[in-house]
Amino acid sequence: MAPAVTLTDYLILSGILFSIGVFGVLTRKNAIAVLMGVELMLNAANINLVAFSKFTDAGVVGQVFALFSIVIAAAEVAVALAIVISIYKVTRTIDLDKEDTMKG
Amino acid sequence: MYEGLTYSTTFSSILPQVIIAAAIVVCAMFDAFVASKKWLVGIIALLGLGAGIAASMSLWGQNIVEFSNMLSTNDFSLIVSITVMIAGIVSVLVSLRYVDAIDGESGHYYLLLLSSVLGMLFLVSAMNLIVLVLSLELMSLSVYPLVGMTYERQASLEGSMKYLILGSFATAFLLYGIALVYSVIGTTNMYAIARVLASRRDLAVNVVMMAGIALILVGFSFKVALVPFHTWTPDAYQGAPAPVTGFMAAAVKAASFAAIIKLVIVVLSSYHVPVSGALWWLSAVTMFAGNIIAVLQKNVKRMLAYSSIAHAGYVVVGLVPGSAFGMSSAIFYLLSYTFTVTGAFAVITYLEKKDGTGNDLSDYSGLSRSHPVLSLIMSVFMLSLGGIPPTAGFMAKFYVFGAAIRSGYVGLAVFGILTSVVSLYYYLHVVYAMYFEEPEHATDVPVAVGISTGIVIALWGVIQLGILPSDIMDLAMKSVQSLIH
Repeated sequence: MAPAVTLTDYLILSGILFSIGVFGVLTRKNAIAVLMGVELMLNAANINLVAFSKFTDAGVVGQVFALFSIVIAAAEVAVALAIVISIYKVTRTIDLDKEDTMKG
Repeated sequence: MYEGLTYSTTFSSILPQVIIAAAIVVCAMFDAFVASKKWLVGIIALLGLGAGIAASMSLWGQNIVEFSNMLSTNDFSLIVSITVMIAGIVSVLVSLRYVDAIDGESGHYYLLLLSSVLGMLFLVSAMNLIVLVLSLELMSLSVYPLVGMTYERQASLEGSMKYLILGSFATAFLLYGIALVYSVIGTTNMYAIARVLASRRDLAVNVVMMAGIALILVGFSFKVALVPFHTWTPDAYQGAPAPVTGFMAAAVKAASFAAIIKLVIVVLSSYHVPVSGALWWLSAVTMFAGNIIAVLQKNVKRMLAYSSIAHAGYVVVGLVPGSAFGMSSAIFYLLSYTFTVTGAFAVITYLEKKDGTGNDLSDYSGLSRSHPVLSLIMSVFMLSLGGIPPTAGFMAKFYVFGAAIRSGYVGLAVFGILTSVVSLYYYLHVVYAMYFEEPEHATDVPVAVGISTGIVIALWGVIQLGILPSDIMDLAMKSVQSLIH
């Protein structure tokens, strides 16, 4: 039988996800890919919340919080995609390196 | 952990929030069904904000914790609510002509502004980290589209995109930090967290707890634009329409800082690891970098963006000592900065052209010849930002540095005063350009009643706080006391 999944495993997973997300936000040029990085970071926090809620005696607050944070992430993506589409209409690109008209 | 779970059916303690929410609905209906007169939506927004201020004043002096201990109405939440609603009123007044000039659908401008104010009102009364995050996001998500409002202009969209990406980046840090704190403490109620922190000394060496608090501080540092988390600010401030920039610099900053002040007073004061060291460095670096880079700017909006970064540093000076007087001085600073910066951006709105130009220092050259009153008013706002008496900016800096010196942070205070001397250079540069340079081209701005009314409100605040600051300072002291249990 495979060993049981413990709290530490979840924490390692969420730590890795969060780091990948930060890396994606910092290195990607494509606006959509950057948003995917942000989503990874938010979901890493969700995994943490749910795991702590399950493995400690903290009650269901963590799971409720995770539900709310999923809503936040969805709203954020909706607004973000709207802005990305309007940017694409004006500049015909979503490369963030080319969105650089302001200097100083 | 369900202690004190009382469901309240009375909404009287959150009357300001209810009023703003109702105003949002009415605005939406009006925008949808009375399509021809968009400025009427603005008038409804003004009425809603005015009623919200009246409701906040009627609640003054009460201390109510309701909705399963999630929301608390006290003097602190009320004074900041009133501040952000005043900023909202000035921004709506200033926007009236501007929004009319945006082609096509424009009524939702006021909807977004009001829903952002609603987020702020919940943010300042949130006593639970879940509500804190939700209201912070309601505030931010409403401001991102406002920045990109002039959506045929690339700079506006660009600022919006950068603000959104770094704003959500910050939210992710904040959320991860909260998850870590929750893992150690097991609750998201701020007072409960404070109780656990005070009773367990072992948490002072708990790495997870430290990382959680650090991530929360990083998240908020992004939101209020402390160096080195400020990179979105110049582009977002420059790209946004001028009334929106004023709203961001005043209301968004005040509400986010109020959340930090609340966290520091309620939660972190019980923590056995002092955070004042981290705040010391953040404030010193922010004051230095903000002011030095602002000196190099040629665009007045971008210059004020760096100036607003520097001012965030001054507010943090009030937080470093951790004393009640320091916190009150920070609140006073937020109030005075709200009046000053909304006024300054109202003047900028007068001069900004539809395509986003008209903000260079050269556009201000010789302005006093054609518009003597406007130049005089702009000079007052610039002097207030620079901290020259008898303006609000001077008293604010006086209190903040006084609090630092009183608690023994003389070095930080001296450093802050030196950086504010540097800042005088670029504020007075605007005044110099208006009065002593030859006009490069004729500037002709038609008089707008809305903008002028907004300027008068801001001017009144700047003079009032500059000449009679002690009443407001007493209110700020009371508001801090109301948070300490």
